[in-house]
Amino acid sequence: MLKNSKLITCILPKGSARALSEKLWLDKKLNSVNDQDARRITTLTESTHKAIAMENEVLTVIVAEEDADEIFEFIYYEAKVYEPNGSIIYMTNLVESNLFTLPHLPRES
Amino acid sequence: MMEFHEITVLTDVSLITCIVQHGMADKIIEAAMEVGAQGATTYHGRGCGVRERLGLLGLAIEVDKEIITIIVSNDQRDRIFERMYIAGKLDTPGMGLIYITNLEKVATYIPADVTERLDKQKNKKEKHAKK
Repeated sequence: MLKNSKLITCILPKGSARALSEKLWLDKKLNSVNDQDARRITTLTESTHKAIAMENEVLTVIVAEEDADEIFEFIYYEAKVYEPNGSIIYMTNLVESNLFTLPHLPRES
Repeated sequence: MMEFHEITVLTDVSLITCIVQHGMADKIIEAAMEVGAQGATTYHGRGCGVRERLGLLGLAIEVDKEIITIIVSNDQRDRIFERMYIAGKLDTPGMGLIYITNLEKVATYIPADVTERLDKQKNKKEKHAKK
């Protein structure tokens, strides 16, 4: 069991989560990545202040405490959260979580 | 090649999660936005437990759920929480669940003029602290 692990959640534009999940698996060897579809309602801050609805994807990953900041930054840059694309990333503490290990299966040719 | 930016993180933020029956999310989100929430994310879920315990009355409760998550600053948190609770009639059995989670940090796009303003405030505070 992982004590004091962290849950990192990233809300992304539709179509971005799968590629990012694969990067996390390939580059960071993370297999506790989930993604789901969502819809989002947000206010436009520029002119009309009207609420708009859009399709989004939500990616979640559980990481050990010592890796959390590194993975947070990795996702921040890969998902280009610094751009005005509607992305947001946040991190929360988990008291405890299990280690999601994969069974040993032969690789499909 | 990745561009590197300094990450400005928001602290003093919480996540309000509200799980309600399918079709109820919109009015709860509207109520939250009336008192300052900037947006909400909604996704689909399925619930079990309450229906089974209520017997025949449980038929009035939908299995399909909508899960609403809203990121709020800590000073708005209680007001938005209360407003969502009332709008969703969450004091009625079977209507739903709402809870708050502390967030360690949040990052998102911050317009350049806002980061400038924050930097100026930070520099002012540092100057005052030095004096």
